[in-house]
Amino acid sequence: MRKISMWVICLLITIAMIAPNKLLMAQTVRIGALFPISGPGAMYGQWSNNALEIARDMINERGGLWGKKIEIVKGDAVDPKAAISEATRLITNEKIQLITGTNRSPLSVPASEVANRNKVIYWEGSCEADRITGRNLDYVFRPFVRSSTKAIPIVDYCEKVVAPALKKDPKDLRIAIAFDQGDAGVDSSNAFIDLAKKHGLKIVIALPHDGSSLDFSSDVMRLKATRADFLYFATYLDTTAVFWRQARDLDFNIPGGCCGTGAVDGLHNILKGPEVDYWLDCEGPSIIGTSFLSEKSRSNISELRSRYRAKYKDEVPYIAILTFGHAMILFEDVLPRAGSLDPEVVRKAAMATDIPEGGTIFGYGVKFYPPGHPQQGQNERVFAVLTQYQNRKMVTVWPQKVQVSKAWCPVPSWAERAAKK
Amino acid sequence: MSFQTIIQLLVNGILIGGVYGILSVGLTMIFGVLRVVNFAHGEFIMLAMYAAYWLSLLHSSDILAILLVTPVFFLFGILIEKYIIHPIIDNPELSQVFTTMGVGIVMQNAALILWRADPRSKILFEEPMRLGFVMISFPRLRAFLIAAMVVTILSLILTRTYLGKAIRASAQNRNAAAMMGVNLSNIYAAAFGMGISMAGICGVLLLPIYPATPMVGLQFVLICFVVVVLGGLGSISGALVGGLIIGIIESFSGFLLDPALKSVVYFIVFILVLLFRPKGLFGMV
Repeated sequence: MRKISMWVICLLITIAMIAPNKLLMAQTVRIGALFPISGPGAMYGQWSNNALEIARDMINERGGLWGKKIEIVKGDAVDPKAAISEATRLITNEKIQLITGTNRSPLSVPASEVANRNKVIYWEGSCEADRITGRNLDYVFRPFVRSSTKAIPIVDYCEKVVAPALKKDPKDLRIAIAFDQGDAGVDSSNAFIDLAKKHGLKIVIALPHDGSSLDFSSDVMRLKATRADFLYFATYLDTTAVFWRQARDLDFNIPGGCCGTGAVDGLHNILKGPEVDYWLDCEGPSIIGTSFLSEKSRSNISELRSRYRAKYKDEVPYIAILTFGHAMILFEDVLPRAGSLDPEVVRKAAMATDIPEGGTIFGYGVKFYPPGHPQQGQNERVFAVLTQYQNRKMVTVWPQKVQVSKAWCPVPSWAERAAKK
Repeated sequence: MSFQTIIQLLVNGILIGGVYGILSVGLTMIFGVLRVVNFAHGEFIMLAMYAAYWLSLLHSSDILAILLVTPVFFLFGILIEKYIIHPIIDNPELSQVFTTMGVGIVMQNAALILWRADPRSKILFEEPMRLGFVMISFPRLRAFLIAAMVVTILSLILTRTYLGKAIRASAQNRNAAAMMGVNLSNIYAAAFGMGISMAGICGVLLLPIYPATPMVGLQFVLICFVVVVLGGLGSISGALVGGLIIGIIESFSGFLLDPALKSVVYFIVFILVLLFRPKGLFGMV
C-alpha cells in the first residue's frame, strides 16, 4: 500500500511539474531564438537577445499575437555543431515551429538547413552570407541585406566621394581588401571584387586573415606596402579594434578611408579616443534620416532606443537594431496575416509580404524572391548604407537619399590628427 | 623587401613574442612543478584583465594594478590548488585535463553571467615611439619589458632562494625532494600560486592591447601551449624564448607569405623542433 502511495505521489508531482508548462505552451506563441549566448560570439548574441526581448515586450503590451503572449525560447549556438544540435533541440524537444537568429553566417548556414529539413521556418535577421538564401530552401527567409548587396554603396562611395576627395580618377584609385576567412568575409570580399572590377576599379591586394589572431602587424605591413587609397575591411568588431590600434602603431594611413562590413558599430566602446573617427561601416540602414520612414517605423525605432537605454544603460548596438527590426516585421506583419505558427501558413504569408520602402525601421521595404529564383527567400527590396564615426558617433553618410551627415573624406594622416589634438 | 621593412618586422616579432612569452610563463611553471596542464590558464588571464579594468576606473597606473593583482592572484591560485588541483594531482592525466577544463568553463560562464559579453576596454591610442624609421607600440613594449623583468625575477627566486631550490627539486624528482624534507603540498601550492600570479600580471599588461570579454581566454590558450611545448615544458626562460621565436616567425611569414598562413608556418616549425628535440628547446620533462 505504502509502495503504491509513493508511486501515486511521484506521478502527481511529475504531472504538477509538467502540466503548467504544457498549459503555458498552449497559451503562448513560442518563437525560437538561436544566437551565440556563450563562446566567441556571446557579445553579439546577448545584444540580439536583449533586442528580441524588447520586441516581445512591446508586442505583448499591445495584446500579443492572436490574443496570446509571445514567448522566446532560446538556443545557444556557440559554434556550427552546437547550432545544429540546438536547432534540432528547439524543433524536436521544444516543438518550435519558427526560429530566428543567428548573428554569424557559419552558424546560420547549418541551422537553417536543419530547420528547412524539418519544415520549420527560419527567419534570418542578421547574417549576410549569400549562401544562406542561395540554396532554394522553401522555409528560409532573410529580410536583411546579403553580402553582394553591400558592395553596391561601397563602390558607389569610392567613385563619387573618395575619388573626387583625393582628386583622382576612380580608375586610378588603389583599393585594398582585407577579409576574415569565414563565409561572410569571403562572400563580402568576392562580391566587392566582382563589382569593383565591373566598374574598372583597381584592386591592389585581397588579403585573407585569421580573425582569431592576436597580432595583425604583418597584415598592416602588407597593406601599407600597397599605398592603398581605400581599404575594405570585412571582419568582426574585436578584430577591427586590434587591427586599427596596430594601424596607428605602424603609421598606416589610408586617405580615402577604411570601411568595415557591418561590424564596426560598437568600436567606440573598445577604442576610447577620437581615433575611432573616420571609420566607415557598410551595413543595413539603422541610423538613417527618419523623414524617410513611415510613422510606425519612426515610433518603433524611437521606442527601441529609449527602452534599451533604460534597461541596459547604453545606446542600442547595431546588431540589436537588426534583430529588433526584422523581428518586428515578423510580429507586426507576417504572423498577424498568417494567423497561426503552422509553417506552411507562415511560409505563404511570408511569400505574400509586400511592405513598401520606408515601411521598416531600416527604410527598405520587404518582398521575398519567389521559389525558383536563385536567391529564393531573400528580400529583394534591401539596400545597404555607409555609416561613419564622426565625433565618436555613427552617422549615415551614403547614399545621399538617406544621408544624415556628409562624409568626412579625405582622412587626415595619423600625424595630422595628433597635431590637431 | 627593404632594410627598414626587415627591421620593422623583426621589432614587431620581438614585441608580440614578448606578449606570447608572458602569456606562457605561468603555464609552464605550473606544469614544470605539478605536472598538471592547466587548461584554465586563459580564463585566469581573462579574470585578471577584468580586475585590471575595474582598477583602471579608480587609477590608471599599470604598475599599481600589477602590485595589487599579483598577491591577490597568488592567494587565489593557492586556494584553487588546495581545493581543486591537489585532490586530483595523482589521478590519471585525462581526469586532470577535464578538471582544469571544467574550472575554465565555470570561470568563463560566471564572467558571462556577472559581467555580460560586452567588451571592457582600456585601449588608448598613445602615440607610438619612433626610433629612426622603426615604430614601436608602447603597450607592447611595456609588456615585453615587464615580461623580461618577471622572467628575471622568477629565475632569481628559483636559483637563489630556498623556496626556489625546493621548487626545482620537486620538479626534478618529487619523491627525492620529499625524502629530503621538502613539504610537497606547500611547494605545489606556492608553485601554482606563482603561476596564477603570472597570469594576473599578464592580464594587466594585455588590457591596453585587447578588450576583455568572458571568452578572451580562448584566444590566448592555443598559442600558450605552442610556446610552452616549443620552449620546453617547465622551462621559464624557454617560454620567453619560445614566445620570441613564434613571434618573429609569425611576423616574417605573415608578410612574406600570407597573414592567413602564419600559423601554418609556426606549426610546421613547432613540429620540426619536436621531431628532433621532443623535450622542446630548453625542456626539463
